[in-house]
Amino acid sequence: MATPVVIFFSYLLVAGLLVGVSSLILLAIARFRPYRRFLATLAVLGFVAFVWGMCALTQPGYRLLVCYFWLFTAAVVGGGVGCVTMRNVFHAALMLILSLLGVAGYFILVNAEFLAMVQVIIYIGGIMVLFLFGIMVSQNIIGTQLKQNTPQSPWAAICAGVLFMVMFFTGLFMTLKPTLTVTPDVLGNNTGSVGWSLMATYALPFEVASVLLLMAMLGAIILVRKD
Amino acid sequence: MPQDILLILVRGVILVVVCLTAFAYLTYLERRVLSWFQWRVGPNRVGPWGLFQPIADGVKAILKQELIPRRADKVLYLIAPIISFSAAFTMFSLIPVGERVFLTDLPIAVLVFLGLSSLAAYGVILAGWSSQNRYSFMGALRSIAQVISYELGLGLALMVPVMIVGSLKITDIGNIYRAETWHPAYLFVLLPAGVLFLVSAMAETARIPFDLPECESELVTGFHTEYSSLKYAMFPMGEYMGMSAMCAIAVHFFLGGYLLPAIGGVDLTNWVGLIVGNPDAVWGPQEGYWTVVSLSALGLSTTLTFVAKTLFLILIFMWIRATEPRFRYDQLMQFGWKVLLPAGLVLVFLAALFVVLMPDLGGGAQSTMEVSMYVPR
Amino acid sequence: MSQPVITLQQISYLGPVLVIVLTVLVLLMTDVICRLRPSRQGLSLLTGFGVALGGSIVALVYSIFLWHRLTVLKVGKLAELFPVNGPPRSVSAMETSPVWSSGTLVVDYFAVFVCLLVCGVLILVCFNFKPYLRINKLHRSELFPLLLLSASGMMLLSMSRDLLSTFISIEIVSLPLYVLCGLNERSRANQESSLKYFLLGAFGSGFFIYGASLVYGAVGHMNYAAIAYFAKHSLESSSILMIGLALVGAGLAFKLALVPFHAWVPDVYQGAPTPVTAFMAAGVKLAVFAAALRLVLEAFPLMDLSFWRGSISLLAALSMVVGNLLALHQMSAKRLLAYSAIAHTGYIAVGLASGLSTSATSILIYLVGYALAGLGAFTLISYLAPDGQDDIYLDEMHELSKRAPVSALAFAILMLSMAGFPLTLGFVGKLMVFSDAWRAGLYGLVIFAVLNSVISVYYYLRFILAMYMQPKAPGAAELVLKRMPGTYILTGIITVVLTLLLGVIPHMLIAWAQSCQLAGL
Repeated sequence: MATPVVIFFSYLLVAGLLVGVSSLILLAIARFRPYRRFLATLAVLGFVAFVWGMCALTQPGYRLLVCYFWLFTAAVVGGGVGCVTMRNVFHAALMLILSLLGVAGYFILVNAEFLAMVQVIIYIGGIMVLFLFGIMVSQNIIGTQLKQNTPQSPWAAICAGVLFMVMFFTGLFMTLKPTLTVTPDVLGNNTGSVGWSLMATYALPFEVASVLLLMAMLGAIILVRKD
Repeated sequence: MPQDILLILVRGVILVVVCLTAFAYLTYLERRVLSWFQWRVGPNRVGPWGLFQPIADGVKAILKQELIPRRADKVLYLIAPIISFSAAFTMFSLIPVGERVFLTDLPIAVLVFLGLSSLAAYGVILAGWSSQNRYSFMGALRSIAQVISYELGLGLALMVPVMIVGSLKITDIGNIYRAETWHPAYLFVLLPAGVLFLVSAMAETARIPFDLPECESELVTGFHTEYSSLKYAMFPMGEYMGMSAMCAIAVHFFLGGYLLPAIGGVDLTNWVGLIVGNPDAVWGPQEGYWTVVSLSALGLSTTLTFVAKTLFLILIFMWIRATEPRFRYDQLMQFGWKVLLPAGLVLVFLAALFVVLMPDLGGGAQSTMEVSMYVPR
Repeated sequence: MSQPVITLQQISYLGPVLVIVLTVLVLLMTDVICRLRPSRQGLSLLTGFGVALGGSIVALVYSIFLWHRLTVLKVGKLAELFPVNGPPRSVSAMETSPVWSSGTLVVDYFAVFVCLLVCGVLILVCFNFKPYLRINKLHRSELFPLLLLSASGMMLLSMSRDLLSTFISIEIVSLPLYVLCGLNERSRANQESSLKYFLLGAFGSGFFIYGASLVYGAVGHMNYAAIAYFAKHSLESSSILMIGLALVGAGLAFKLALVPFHAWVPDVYQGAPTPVTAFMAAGVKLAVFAAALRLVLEAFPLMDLSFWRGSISLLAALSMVVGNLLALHQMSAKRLLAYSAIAHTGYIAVGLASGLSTSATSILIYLVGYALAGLGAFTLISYLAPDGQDDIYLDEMHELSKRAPVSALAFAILMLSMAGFPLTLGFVGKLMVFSDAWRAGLYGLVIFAVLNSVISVYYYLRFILAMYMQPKAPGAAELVLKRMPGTYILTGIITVVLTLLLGVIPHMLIAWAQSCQLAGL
């Protein structure tokens, strides 16, 4: 019911979202550096308020799981925003790692611990390490710090903002139901189920993916080979 | 609930204290062993036989002046040692040390272990990058390439017992070494896999024949050149802990875990259980004084076995450090990609053959039967 | 033990793909063997070509055999591989709904026909590549494996009926092309084209996979049958599904180069080595349209919703007008053909928008016509192109009719087919696609498309005018005409003769294509 507390948290939620999104958009357009810092702080505060309001409204008891969910969300969103706004490419890559870690956290929350660990091993331990390697080596070769600059960032911000709004309102007006058909866990953990769905239902994409990898390897060798 | 959390916390504190002490005395052990190999004395001044040397070293490390390079990327510079330290310590929380003596026994422990060992690389990368020093930078670059290359061998070697057992749980895997489930045929795949694992582990933790990221003769001390005081000390801590964790995992996977050796078909683990109490009762849920005693005795004896086995592997690592010369960098890469990786693939293939041809052995058969209902009609 | 996931017989229906992949492995080995000694460098190109050609021909024969099996067995489809059983639990009307089963892959008439066409394109492109490599002094026999892998992806794409396998097949199609575009590391244009294609292609794939994840979130399956089923039976609003499918569509549109997603086409088509451009124009368009057709016809029985038809029509109209207008004043032949490719995508999308059961037939015929014309035209361009330029400009083509009458005539015929003149296959394709759209009631779109094809005649005629009517401009570069390599001649003859023959007597092709129904649910 509309108790003052609920009203307060609803305001917090809406205001936080508005402040956060608008300062993010401004952040994408702004050029002046101190101004950018201020806007970034504002965005973070806005999203914290939003998260707080959401926590309070959805789970008044602050159940541990929900707290974890919002923690991971903060990592994913913060990492994503950091990844596109950071000037230093190395830092941007690190923010991407943060985001990927958050996704691994999501996987754990939905009992997909196998996927979570695979996410950590492959994306964070493999791909992102190579990413950093690439950044470090190319900085060494060109002798300058790589800076990320995107002249089209206002356009990108608008597009992303529109997509976000569409998704947001879709999510808002959707009756959320568990729609996934999850295979029951016979083995007590889902590693076995993942294995079976990979090897039975999705056997072909799985095998074809190995062809894809073969080809990626071949292509990489061809691109770097000197005649 | 709060009791559970408290229990976990207490166990964690015990783990950290034990690990820190173990780390301190591992450095002492390493120095003594090395000096023994090199026909010199080694640390023997502080305390009896130099036993207080690690404490003195620790005090020294804490009291030293702390220097942070001005151009360093401060945040990353500070985070780096924490990452490498905590990743190595977290690895230990995965490892059961004795019968029913463990902090966690996750169903995906092997994957978590691999994940943590790859996360540990970030400590090195960030340290090398944030120091803004050429030597550190080169050390970090080398470390990345090395970790990426040898992780493959490590993972493939671990996959062999995992495939045979059909589980990612460490205790499940240790259990094939029990007298009831053991079969000599396992040796054909497990032994080479064990060797592969140890070699890859040595490279993954940058122990001496593979210590290119920090080799003194080329890179000062490599990625942690710019670190001083306690932050410097955290890197060797992480390194030693990583090495011990690797050895502990190797013990579980390839040396029978915490189980006592079986002599002539008699499993000493069960035998110990037999002496101290009813072995059947040991497995079931029960209460009372005897249970506590039998369980403690069982736990204690298995833990001691486990520690002894782990120490044995660590001593082998030290032995290799004392005797083997360092690789050249290209040799390192060649060895990783052209020897270890194909060997690992062949082993995985053999293990698959093993599971298919001898389905009545090991846990692999069991799990195949269990999940056959998943095949779509 | 339980039932096997796939039987040997089912595997045999994947024959063409398997043959191609096996050929790739053989190629990799022969390449290594040939490179053991430097003296055999030249040999590696020849063996590469031979093995690739052999593999493609075997795959072609295999596809014909599968077609024969289909007609003999009188079944709609040979196999549904890796079936998924439904209905999805999420559907509210679950209790009354029938249980269905749909494969991840299906081998039906449509798929086999596309496989046939892909094999044909592959053979012609192999023909193109051999002299191209020799003339441009590229010792890159390892491109044949890439080419074949890409073709195997095209075949899989025509069979897949599942967002996941579609995605992976698309990646298999595109990844080798990224590499192939940058084939010549001495050419900056090649490198640029490769990088642009890669970045934008990866962007498009990102759209696709994001959409697919949303669809999976809404439906709980990625199978087209499941999507259609969900859309039909679900009582709740499926806006997530809509957004997901829109994003999947955007991903496909990136690969197809429909207009708001077309920015990469001109640079990539112009910068890539000409045979690769030919392969992209003929093969990729064919395969991705096959996938789009399967998606539209199998996953959207909600096509009666005007939303889909409207958005596809919009994309089609935009592509036609933008492609045609930008093509009008291009001087580079490859760039002009690139813009015209955008326009052609628009025409084909008109067929897609009509969404009738006959659309598959008409689109396939259009694609055959376009592939033939494109392959022929690009072959001639790579023959006429001056050394090191790998492109030809319109003012260099002046008076070509006098110096190379046969090539000029062939080029003129192919251009007329692209413009859709009667008596060429291009006309048959356009006619069928537009009449489909007319029957579907898209009158405005059809009129718009016809107007556009009238505009397009202008720039196709520019080629013909340049070759036949315009005197050589003073100071324009003189084309050095070499002896035409045999495989170019072969490609030229095959494309021109088929264009004319099928244009004059299209009945057989139409009859074949009419049997190309999708297996349906």
